[in-house]
Amino acid sequence: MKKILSLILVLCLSLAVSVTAFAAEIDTSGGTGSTPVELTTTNGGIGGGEDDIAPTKLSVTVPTALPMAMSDDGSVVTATGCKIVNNSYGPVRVKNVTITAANGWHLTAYGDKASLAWEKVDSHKLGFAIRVGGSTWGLTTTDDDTQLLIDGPIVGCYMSGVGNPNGNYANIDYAAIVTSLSSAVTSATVATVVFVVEWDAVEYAK
Amino acid sequence: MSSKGSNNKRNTTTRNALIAIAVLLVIAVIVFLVQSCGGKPGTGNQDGTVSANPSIIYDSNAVEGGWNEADLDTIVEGLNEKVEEGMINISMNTSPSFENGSAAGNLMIVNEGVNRYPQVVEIIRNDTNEQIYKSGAIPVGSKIESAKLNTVLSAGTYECTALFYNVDPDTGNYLGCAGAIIQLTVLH
Repeated sequence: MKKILSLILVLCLSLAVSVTAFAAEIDTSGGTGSTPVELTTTNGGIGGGEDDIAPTKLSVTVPTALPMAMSDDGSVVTATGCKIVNNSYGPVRVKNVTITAANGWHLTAYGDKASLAWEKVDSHKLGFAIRVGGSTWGLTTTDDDTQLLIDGPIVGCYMSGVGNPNGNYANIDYAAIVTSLSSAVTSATVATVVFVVEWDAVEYAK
Repeated sequence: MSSKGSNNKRNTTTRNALIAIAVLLVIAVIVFLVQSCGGKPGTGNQDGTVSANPSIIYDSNAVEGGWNEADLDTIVEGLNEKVEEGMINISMNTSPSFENGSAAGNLMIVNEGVNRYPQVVEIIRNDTNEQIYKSGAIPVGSKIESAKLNTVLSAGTYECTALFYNVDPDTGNYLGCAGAIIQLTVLH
Protein backbone atom coordinates (compact mmCIF):
# COMPACT_ATOMS: atom_id res chain seq x y z
CA MET A 1 0.00 0.00 0.00
CA LYS A 2 2.84 2.36 0.90
CA LYS A 3 4.48 1.44 -2.37
CA ILE A 4 1.43 2.43 -4.35
CA LEU A 5 1.06 5.71 -2.46
CA SER A 6 4.69 6.60 -3.03
CA LEU A 7 4.32 5.85 -6.76
CA ILE A 8 1.31 8.15 -7.00
CA LEU A 9 3.20 10.89 -5.19
CA VAL A 10 6.15 10.54 -7.54
CA LEU A 11 3.82 10.74 -10.51
CA CYS A 12 2.11 13.88 -9.17
CA LEU A 13 5.42 15.56 -8.48
CA SER A 14 6.82 14.76 -11.89
CA LEU A 15 3.71 16.17 -13.60
CA ALA A 16 3.73 19.27 -11.41
CA VAL A 17 7.29 20.25 -12.19
CA SER A 18 7.34 19.29 -15.88
CA VAL A 19 7.09 22.02 -18.58
CA THR A 20 4.70 21.57 -21.49
CA ALA A 21 6.37 21.28 -24.85
CA PHE A 22 4.01 23.94 -26.36
CA ALA A 23 5.29 26.76 -24.16
CA ALA A 24 8.49 28.67 -24.59
CA GLU A 25 10.93 28.14 -21.76
CA ILE A 26 12.14 31.35 -20.17
CA ASP A 27 14.69 30.57 -17.52
CA THR A 28 16.44 33.90 -17.08
CA SER A 29 15.25 37.24 -15.84
CA GLY A 30 14.38 39.43 -18.85
CA GLY A 31 14.45 36.43 -21.18
CA THR A 32 12.18 36.15 -24.21
CA GLY A 33 10.12 33.42 -25.76
CA SER A 34 8.17 33.08 -28.98
CA THR A 35 4.62 31.90 -29.36
CA PRO A 36 3.50 30.84 -32.84
CA VAL A 37 0.25 32.27 -34.19
CA GLU A 38 -1.24 29.59 -36.38
CA LEU A 39 -3.77 29.90 -39.19
CA THR A 40 -5.75 27.17 -40.88
CA THR A 41 -8.01 27.90 -43.83
CA THR A 42 -11.15 25.86 -44.09
CA ASN A 43 -14.16 25.64 -46.33
CA GLY A 44 -16.29 24.24 -43.55
CA GLY A 45 -16.27 27.37 -41.45
CA ILE A 46 -14.25 27.88 -38.29
CA GLY A 47 -13.69 24.52 -36.65
CA GLY A 48 -13.85 22.65 -39.96
CA GLY A 49 -12.29 19.23 -39.95
CA GLU A 50 -9.01 18.14 -41.46
CA ASP A 51 -10.72 17.37 -44.77
CA ASP A 52 -12.10 20.93 -45.02
CA ILE A 53 -8.74 22.61 -45.49
CA ALA A 54 -9.03 24.94 -48.50
CA PRO A 55 -7.86 28.38 -49.61
CA THR A 56 -10.05 31.48 -49.99
CA LYS A 57 -13.02 30.80 -52.23
CA LEU A 58 -12.96 32.36 -55.69
CA SER A 59 -16.41 33.61 -56.61
CA VAL A 60 -16.82 35.97 -59.56
CA THR A 61 -19.82 36.93 -61.68
CA VAL A 62 -18.95 37.25 -65.35
CA PRO A 63 -21.07 38.02 -68.44
CA THR A 64 -21.42 35.24 -70.98
CA ALA A 65 -23.59 37.21 -73.41
CA LEU A 66 -22.58 40.43 -75.17
CA PRO A 67 -25.67 41.30 -77.22
CA MET A 68 -25.67 43.84 -80.03
CA ALA A 69 -28.28 45.47 -82.25
CA MET A 70 -27.46 46.61 -85.77
CA SER A 71 -29.63 49.31 -87.32
CA ASP A 72 -30.63 49.43 -90.97
CA ASP A 73 -27.76 51.79 -91.71
CA GLY A 74 -25.15 49.47 -90.20
CA SER A 75 -24.70 51.25 -86.89
CA VAL A 76 -24.16 48.82 -84.02
CA VAL A 77 -25.53 49.46 -80.54
CA THR A 78 -24.23 47.53 -77.53
CA ALA A 79 -25.30 47.05 -73.92
CA THR A 80 -24.17 49.53 -71.30
CA GLY A 81 -24.68 47.49 -68.13
CA CYS A 82 -22.00 44.91 -68.71
CA LYS A 83 -19.52 44.25 -65.88
CA ILE A 84 -17.52 41.69 -63.94
CA VAL A 85 -18.33 41.53 -60.23
CA ASN A 86 -15.98 40.02 -57.68
CA ASN A 87 -17.80 38.24 -54.85
CA SER A 88 -14.61 36.79 -53.38
CA TYR A 89 -12.90 38.07 -50.27
CA GLY A 90 -9.69 38.82 -52.17
CA PRO A 91 -9.06 40.87 -55.33
CA VAL A 92 -9.22 39.32 -58.79
CA ARG A 93 -8.24 40.50 -62.25
CA VAL A 94 -8.88 39.57 -65.84
CA LYS A 95 -6.23 37.18 -67.14
CA ASN A 96 -7.34 37.20 -70.76
CA VAL A 97 -10.30 37.67 -73.10
CA THR A 98 -10.74 35.53 -76.19
CA ILE A 99 -13.18 35.83 -79.07
CA THR A 100 -14.12 32.99 -81.41
CA ALA A 101 -16.27 33.41 -84.51
CA ALA A 102 -19.47 31.40 -84.55
CA ASN A 103 -20.16 28.88 -87.27
CA GLY A 104 -20.72 30.68 -90.57
CA TRP A 105 -19.21 33.94 -89.34
CA HIS A 106 -15.70 35.37 -89.71
CA LEU A 107 -13.67 37.83 -87.69
CA THR A 108 -12.07 40.82 -89.34
CA ALA A 109 -10.11 43.84 -88.22
CA TYR A 110 -12.10 46.30 -86.13
CA GLY A 111 -12.24 49.88 -87.34
CA ASP A 112 -14.62 52.39 -88.84
CA LYS A 113 -17.71 50.71 -90.25
CA ALA A 114 -16.87 52.29 -93.59
CA SER A 115 -14.04 49.75 -93.82
CA LEU A 116 -16.68 47.10 -94.46
CA ALA A 117 -18.52 49.10 -97.11
CA TRP A 118 -16.70 47.18 -99.86
CA GLU A 119 -17.61 43.80 -98.43
CA LYS A 120 -20.34 41.89 -100.18
CA VAL A 121 -23.71 41.68 -98.51
CA ASP A 122 -23.99 38.57 -96.32
CA SER A 123 -20.21 38.24 -95.98
CA HIS A 124 -20.89 37.57 -92.29
CA LYS A 125 -17.83 39.43 -91.06
CA LEU A 126 -17.47 40.90 -87.60
CA GLY A 127 -14.92 43.33 -86.22
CA PHE A 128 -14.94 43.49 -82.43
CA ALA A 129 -13.45 45.70 -79.72
CA ILE A 130 -13.58 45.43 -75.94
CA ARG A 131 -12.13 47.07 -72.86
CA VAL A 132 -12.35 46.22 -69.19
CA GLY A 133 -12.33 48.79 -66.44
CA GLY A 134 -11.68 51.67 -68.80
CA SER A 135 -8.39 50.21 -70.01
CA THR A 136 -7.18 50.39 -73.60
CA TRP A 137 -9.32 48.67 -76.20
CA GLY A 138 -8.55 45.14 -77.29
CA LEU A 139 -9.38 44.72 -80.98
CA THR A 140 -9.76 42.01 -83.55
CA THR A 141 -6.88 42.66 -85.92
CA THR A 142 -6.85 39.74 -88.34
CA ASP A 143 -9.14 37.26 -90.07
CA ASP A 144 -8.27 34.43 -87.65
CA ASP A 145 -11.32 32.66 -86.30
CA THR A 146 -10.05 32.85 -82.71
CA GLN A 147 -8.23 35.89 -81.37
CA LEU A 148 -6.98 37.13 -78.03
CA LEU A 149 -8.55 40.50 -77.36
CA ILE A 150 -6.81 40.97 -74.02
CA ASP A 151 -3.66 38.94 -73.43
CA GLY A 152 -2.41 39.10 -69.88
CA PRO A 153 -3.49 41.07 -66.83
CA ILE A 154 -4.15 44.74 -67.38
CA VAL A 155 -1.89 46.94 -65.28
CA GLY A 156 -3.93 48.71 -62.63
CA CYS A 157 -7.14 46.93 -63.55
CA TYR A 158 -8.41 44.65 -60.83
CA MET A 159 -11.53 44.11 -58.81
CA SER A 160 -11.11 44.41 -55.06
CA GLY A 161 -12.67 42.00 -52.61
CA VAL A 162 -16.38 42.00 -51.92
CA GLY A 163 -15.86 44.16 -48.83
CA ASN A 164 -15.33 47.17 -51.09
CA PRO A 165 -18.60 47.83 -52.97
CA ASN A 166 -17.01 50.67 -54.95
CA GLY A 167 -14.11 48.65 -56.25
CA ASN A 168 -15.25 45.05 -56.53
CA TYR A 169 -16.41 45.37 -60.14
CA ALA A 170 -15.07 46.41 -63.53
CA ASN A 171 -17.24 47.81 -66.30
CA ILE A 172 -17.01 46.25 -69.72
CA ASP A 173 -17.38 48.34 -72.87
CA TYR A 174 -17.58 46.74 -76.27
CA ALA A 175 -18.21 47.76 -79.86
CA ALA A 176 -18.49 46.05 -83.21
CA ILE A 177 -18.75 46.52 -86.95
CA VAL A 178 -20.74 44.02 -88.99
CA THR A 179 -21.11 43.52 -92.72
CA SER A 180 -24.52 44.19 -94.22
CA LEU A 181 -27.25 41.57 -94.14
CA SER A 182 -29.90 40.93 -96.75
CA SER A 183 -32.18 39.21 -94.28
CA ALA A 184 -33.25 40.19 -90.81
CA VAL A 185 -31.85 38.13 -87.92
CA THR A 186 -32.86 37.82 -84.28
CA SER A 187 -30.49 36.82 -81.47
CA ALA A 188 -28.12 35.18 -83.93
CA THR A 189 -24.86 34.05 -82.32
CA VAL A 190 -22.05 35.60 -84.36
CA ALA A 191 -19.17 34.98 -81.94
CA THR A 192 -18.39 33.89 -78.40
CA VAL A 193 -16.26 35.84 -75.96
CA VAL A 194 -14.68 34.13 -72.95
CA PHE A 195 -13.38 36.05 -69.94
CA VAL A 196 -10.79 34.29 -67.79
CA VAL A 197 -10.14 35.68 -64.31
CA GLU A 198 -7.54 34.93 -61.69
CA TRP A 199 -6.47 36.03 -58.24
CA ASP A 200 -4.68 39.36 -58.23
CA ALA A 201 -1.89 37.73 -56.27
CA VAL A 202 1.57 38.83 -55.26
CA GLU A 203 4.02 37.47 -57.78
CA TYR A 204 7.12 36.23 -56.03
CA ALA A 205 10.34 35.77 -57.92
CA LYS A 206 10.68 32.13 -58.96
CA MET B 1 -106.77 85.83 -117.53
CA SER B 2 -106.66 82.29 -116.32
CA SER B 3 -104.70 81.32 -119.46
CA LYS B 4 -102.13 84.05 -118.79
CA GLY B 5 -101.81 83.00 -115.17
CA SER B 6 -101.36 79.43 -116.21
CA ASN B 7 -98.57 80.41 -118.64
CA ASN B 8 -96.74 82.41 -115.93
CA LYS B 9 -96.94 79.49 -113.57
CA ARG B 10 -95.55 77.14 -116.26
CA ASN B 11 -92.70 79.55 -117.01
CA THR B 12 -91.80 79.82 -113.35
CA THR B 13 -91.79 76.06 -112.99
CA THR B 14 -89.62 75.68 -116.08
CA ARG B 15 -87.17 78.31 -114.83
CA ASN B 16 -86.90 76.62 -111.47
CA ALA B 17 -86.31 73.30 -113.11
CA LEU B 18 -83.55 74.74 -115.29
CA ILE B 19 -81.91 76.36 -112.25
CA ALA B 20 -82.06 73.07 -110.36
CA ILE B 21 -80.55 71.22 -113.31
CA ALA B 22 -77.81 73.84 -113.60
CA VAL B 23 -77.02 73.55 -109.89
CA LEU B 24 -76.90 69.76 -110.14
CA LEU B 25 -74.59 70.00 -113.16
CA VAL B 26 -72.27 72.36 -111.27
CA ILE B 27 -72.23 70.00 -108.28
CA ALA B 28 -71.58 67.04 -110.57
CA VAL B 29 -68.67 68.85 -112.23
CA ILE B 30 -67.21 69.79 -108.84
CA VAL B 31 -67.52 66.23 -107.55
CA PHE B 32 -65.94 64.89 -110.73
CA LEU B 33 -63.04 67.31 -110.46
CA VAL B 34 -62.49 66.53 -106.80
CA GLN B 35 -62.56 62.80 -107.41
CA SER B 36 -60.25 62.87 -110.39
CA CYS B 37 -57.76 65.41 -109.09
CA GLY B 38 -56.86 64.33 -105.58
CA GLY B 39 -59.85 64.72 -103.38
CA LYS B 40 -59.95 60.95 -102.82
CA PRO B 41 -57.12 59.07 -100.98
CA GLY B 42 -54.59 57.64 -103.34
CA THR B 43 -55.47 59.79 -106.32
CA GLY B 44 -53.43 62.90 -105.70
CA ASN B 45 -49.75 63.68 -105.31
CA GLN B 46 -48.37 63.20 -101.84
CA ASP B 47 -47.54 66.90 -101.63
CA GLY B 48 -51.18 67.76 -102.24
CA THR B 49 -50.74 69.10 -105.78
CA VAL B 50 -52.81 67.86 -108.63
CA SER B 51 -51.08 65.17 -110.65
CA ALA B 52 -50.13 66.03 -114.17
CA ASN B 53 -50.73 62.40 -115.05
CA PRO B 54 -54.23 61.41 -114.10
CA SER B 55 -53.48 57.75 -114.86
CA ILE B 56 -51.16 57.27 -111.80
CA ILE B 57 -52.82 55.64 -108.82
CA TYR B 58 -51.15 56.10 -105.44
CA ASP B 59 -51.26 53.30 -102.89
CA SER B 60 -53.66 53.95 -100.07
CA ASN B 61 -51.20 52.14 -97.69
CA ALA B 62 -48.51 54.73 -98.31
CA VAL B 63 -47.89 56.96 -95.30
CA GLU B 64 -45.53 59.83 -94.85
CA GLY B 65 -42.04 59.10 -93.47
CA GLY B 66 -38.90 56.94 -93.96
CA TRP B 67 -37.43 53.93 -92.13
CA ASN B 68 -38.71 53.86 -88.59
CA GLU B 69 -36.39 55.51 -86.10
CA ALA B 70 -35.94 53.08 -83.22
CA ASP B 71 -35.80 54.39 -79.68
CA LEU B 72 -32.15 53.99 -78.67
CA ASP B 73 -32.93 53.86 -74.96
CA THR B 74 -35.40 51.03 -75.49
CA ILE B 75 -32.85 49.08 -77.52
CA VAL B 76 -30.11 49.50 -74.91
CA GLU B 77 -32.54 48.52 -72.16
CA GLY B 78 -33.33 45.30 -74.01
CA LEU B 79 -29.63 44.56 -74.51
CA ASN B 80 -28.91 45.13 -70.83
CA GLU B 81 -31.62 42.63 -69.93
CA LYS B 82 -29.92 40.04 -72.13
CA VAL B 83 -26.58 40.73 -70.43
CA GLU B 84 -28.20 40.20 -67.05
CA GLU B 85 -29.71 36.89 -68.17
CA GLY B 86 -26.31 35.67 -69.35
CA MET B 87 -24.37 36.49 -66.19
CA ILE B 88 -22.66 33.48 -64.66
CA ASN B 89 -21.20 33.14 -61.18
CA ILE B 90 -18.13 30.92 -61.14
CA SER B 91 -16.96 29.50 -57.84
CA MET B 92 -14.39 26.85 -57.03
CA ASN B 93 -11.26 25.96 -55.09
CA THR B 94 -8.42 27.54 -57.07
CA SER B 95 -5.79 25.28 -55.50
CA PRO B 96 -7.19 21.77 -55.58
CA SER B 97 -4.84 19.01 -54.47
CA PHE B 98 -4.79 15.33 -55.27
CA GLU B 99 -3.05 12.71 -53.13
CA ASN B 100 -1.90 11.03 -56.33
CA GLY B 101 -2.71 11.10 -60.02
CA SER B 102 -5.64 8.73 -59.76
CA ALA B 103 -7.11 9.97 -56.48
CA ALA B 104 -10.01 12.36 -56.05
CA GLY B 105 -9.14 15.98 -55.26
CA ASN B 106 -10.96 18.79 -53.48
CA LEU B 107 -12.25 20.69 -56.53
CA MET B 108 -15.18 22.24 -54.62
CA ILE B 109 -16.99 23.47 -57.72
CA VAL B 110 -20.17 25.30 -56.69
CA ASN B 111 -23.01 26.30 -58.98
CA GLU B 112 -24.24 29.10 -56.75
CA GLY B 113 -27.95 29.58 -56.16
CA VAL B 114 -27.85 32.99 -57.88
CA ASN B 115 -27.21 31.34 -61.24
CA ARG B 116 -29.95 30.64 -63.76
CA TYR B 117 -28.56 27.62 -65.55
CA PRO B 118 -26.91 24.27 -64.84
CA GLN B 119 -23.14 24.37 -65.32
CA VAL B 120 -20.61 22.07 -66.92
CA VAL B 121 -16.99 22.60 -65.88
CA GLU B 122 -13.93 21.63 -67.90
CA ILE B 123 -10.35 21.89 -66.67
CA ILE B 124 -7.68 22.46 -69.31
CA ARG B 125 -3.92 22.25 -68.74
CA ASN B 126 -2.46 25.58 -69.88
CA ASP B 127 0.86 24.06 -70.95
CA THR B 128 -0.60 21.37 -73.22
CA ASN B 129 -4.23 22.49 -73.75
CA GLU B 130 -5.20 18.96 -72.72
CA GLN B 131 -8.61 18.59 -71.13
CA ILE B 132 -7.99 16.77 -67.84
CA TYR B 133 -11.44 17.03 -66.30
CA LYS B 134 -15.02 17.47 -67.43
CA SER B 135 -17.99 17.41 -65.10
CA GLY B 136 -21.52 16.46 -65.91
CA ALA B 137 -24.20 19.10 -65.56
CA ILE B 138 -24.26 20.60 -62.07
CA PRO B 139 -27.73 21.85 -61.07
CA VAL B 140 -28.15 25.37 -59.71
CA GLY B 141 -27.49 25.37 -55.97
CA SER B 142 -25.37 22.20 -56.12
CA LYS B 143 -21.65 21.42 -55.87
CA ILE B 144 -18.99 18.89 -56.65
CA GLU B 145 -16.81 18.69 -53.56
CA SER B 146 -14.27 16.24 -54.90
CA ALA B 147 -13.68 14.30 -58.08
CA LYS B 148 -11.02 12.38 -59.97
CA LEU B 149 -9.34 13.75 -63.07
CA ASN B 150 -9.90 12.17 -66.47
CA THR B 151 -6.20 11.53 -66.89
CA VAL B 152 -3.55 10.37 -64.46
CA LEU B 153 -1.05 13.14 -63.81
CA SER B 154 2.36 12.71 -62.28
CA ALA B 155 3.29 14.57 -59.12
CA GLY B 156 3.64 18.30 -59.59
CA THR B 157 1.80 21.59 -59.81
CA TYR B 158 -0.09 22.46 -62.99
CA GLU B 159 -1.51 25.82 -64.03
CA CYS B 160 -4.90 25.16 -65.56
CA THR B 161 -7.97 27.03 -66.76
CA ALA B 162 -11.32 25.97 -65.40
CA LEU B 163 -14.03 26.77 -67.94
CA PHE B 164 -17.58 27.14 -66.66
CA TYR B 165 -20.34 26.70 -69.24
CA ASN B 166 -23.96 27.78 -68.83
CA VAL B 167 -26.08 24.93 -70.16
CA ASP B 168 -29.58 25.12 -71.59
CA PRO B 169 -31.56 22.74 -69.35
CA ASP B 170 -33.86 21.77 -72.23
CA THR B 171 -31.41 21.18 -75.06
CA GLY B 172 -28.07 20.71 -73.30
CA ASN B 173 -26.53 23.36 -75.56
CA TYR B 174 -23.83 25.59 -74.14
CA LEU B 175 -25.12 29.15 -73.73
CA GLY B 176 -21.94 30.92 -72.67
CA CYS B 177 -18.65 30.44 -70.92
CA ALA B 178 -16.29 32.05 -68.41
CA GLY B 179 -13.04 30.81 -66.94
CA ALA B 180 -10.71 30.98 -63.97
CA ILE B 181 -7.04 30.22 -63.56
CA ILE B 182 -6.33 27.49 -60.99
CA GLN B 183 -3.21 25.81 -59.65
CA LEU B 184 -3.73 22.06 -59.48
CA THR B 185 -1.35 20.00 -57.36
CA VAL B 186 -0.73 16.25 -57.45
CA LEU B 187 1.16 15.38 -54.29
CA HIS B 188 2.64 11.94 -55.01
